[in-house]
Amino acid sequence: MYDYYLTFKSITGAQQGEGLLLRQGIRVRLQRSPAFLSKNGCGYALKMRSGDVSKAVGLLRLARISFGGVYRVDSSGNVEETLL
Amino acid sequence: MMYLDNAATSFLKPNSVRKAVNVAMIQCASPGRGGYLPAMEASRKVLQCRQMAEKLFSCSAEQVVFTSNATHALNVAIRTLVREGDSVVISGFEHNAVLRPLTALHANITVAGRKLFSQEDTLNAFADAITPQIACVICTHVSNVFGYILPVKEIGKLCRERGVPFVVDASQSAGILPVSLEDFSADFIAMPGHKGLYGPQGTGLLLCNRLPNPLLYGGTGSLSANAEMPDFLPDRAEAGTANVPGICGLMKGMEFVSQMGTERIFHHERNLCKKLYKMLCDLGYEQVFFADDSVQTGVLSFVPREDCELCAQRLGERGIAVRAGLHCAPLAHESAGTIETGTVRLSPSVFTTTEQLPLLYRLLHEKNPFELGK
Repeated sequence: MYDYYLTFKSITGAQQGEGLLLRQGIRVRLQRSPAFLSKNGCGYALKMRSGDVSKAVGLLRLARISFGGVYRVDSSGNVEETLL
Repeated sequence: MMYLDNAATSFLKPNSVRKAVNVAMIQCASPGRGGYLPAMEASRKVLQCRQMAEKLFSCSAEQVVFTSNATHALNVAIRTLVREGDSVVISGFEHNAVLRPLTALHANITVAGRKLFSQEDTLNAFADAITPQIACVICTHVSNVFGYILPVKEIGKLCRERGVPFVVDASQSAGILPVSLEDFSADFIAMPGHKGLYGPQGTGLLLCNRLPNPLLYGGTGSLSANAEMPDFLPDRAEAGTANVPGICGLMKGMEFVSQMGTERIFHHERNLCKKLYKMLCDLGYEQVFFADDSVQTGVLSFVPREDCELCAQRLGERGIAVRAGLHCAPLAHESAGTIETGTVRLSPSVFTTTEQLPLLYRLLHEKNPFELGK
């Protein structure tokens, strides 16, 4: 079982992304980025289920809402950046 | 009290504004800093306010920077575009919020357009003055003293054609006239939250069509490991904890404006302005600065027959709030020829009613010991 995180540099961008994805029926949770994903310090992330990630990335790109990266985290805490 | 000083700050606010400020103080912590409920609630409300500004001023939410007032916003814009000794073109109706930051930078200032209520004169003067060597053009949308509506859309087009950055001071127009980052071809538009947008004092907006230089440096809740300010909006220009109660109040003020519609607000204030003009003419005042709807908002200035400050003092003691003197805009008074006398300014709001006007008539009609030349 994996969790996916889309990271954002600022709360404003993350909120814009959250609003867009929720309107499109994708369940996401806006939260602080886990420290292991915040290489440059504080940030926010959208956490979502694996089945929604590709669609979410496509929608954000279409709306030109910039995000940092897409990360897959397994139940043991192993992190892997996902290229979509 | 009859409050006629809305050009300084709108004193009467919608109930929703007061309520939003109170609720924010109960529910909101620091926005963009934590992940717990009160912090996220603060972030949500701050975004709502940006989105309301997005709707009112044709920009994106990220382009909306919160400031403490229009002066703060203008300082950010000016410090971004003007270096020591640069040449700058401004109108003959600018506030000290423009003049003083430019003077502090030892800018070479060209004042374009001195003829009150003549958009043609203003536009021609800007057309003559704007050259590619100019660092930026700054123009108020509406004079805070005379309510003169300057042709900012046309000036913006000139600036775009000639590749010169353009800053609009919308202090007197936001909430009363259409204001658009896109339509004005502006690089920055500065405005207060506490005047025509009916927000609390301590709020302002800077709409950014380019990346501003920070005026304040500090924490933004983003990229915290970097010693430099973020290079993206709005964080770059929003160091330090935001005024969340103020922003929540501003959100409700803008919502009120959006529901009323700027056109309706403009016409209400203009109708009162026309009644005030007629009243002053009936009372025999000779210097009343009045013009057509196309070039003036609801702000009306006149030169009283007594010292203007004493006139305002007398009215204030009897429950009528007006502003006298130079209104922090000596350039505007120089342009209109009232720099020696100053004026008394009457500026109604959407909450001013016709029924309040007879009291002003009665007090201005009273004989008083300070009348000049008697």
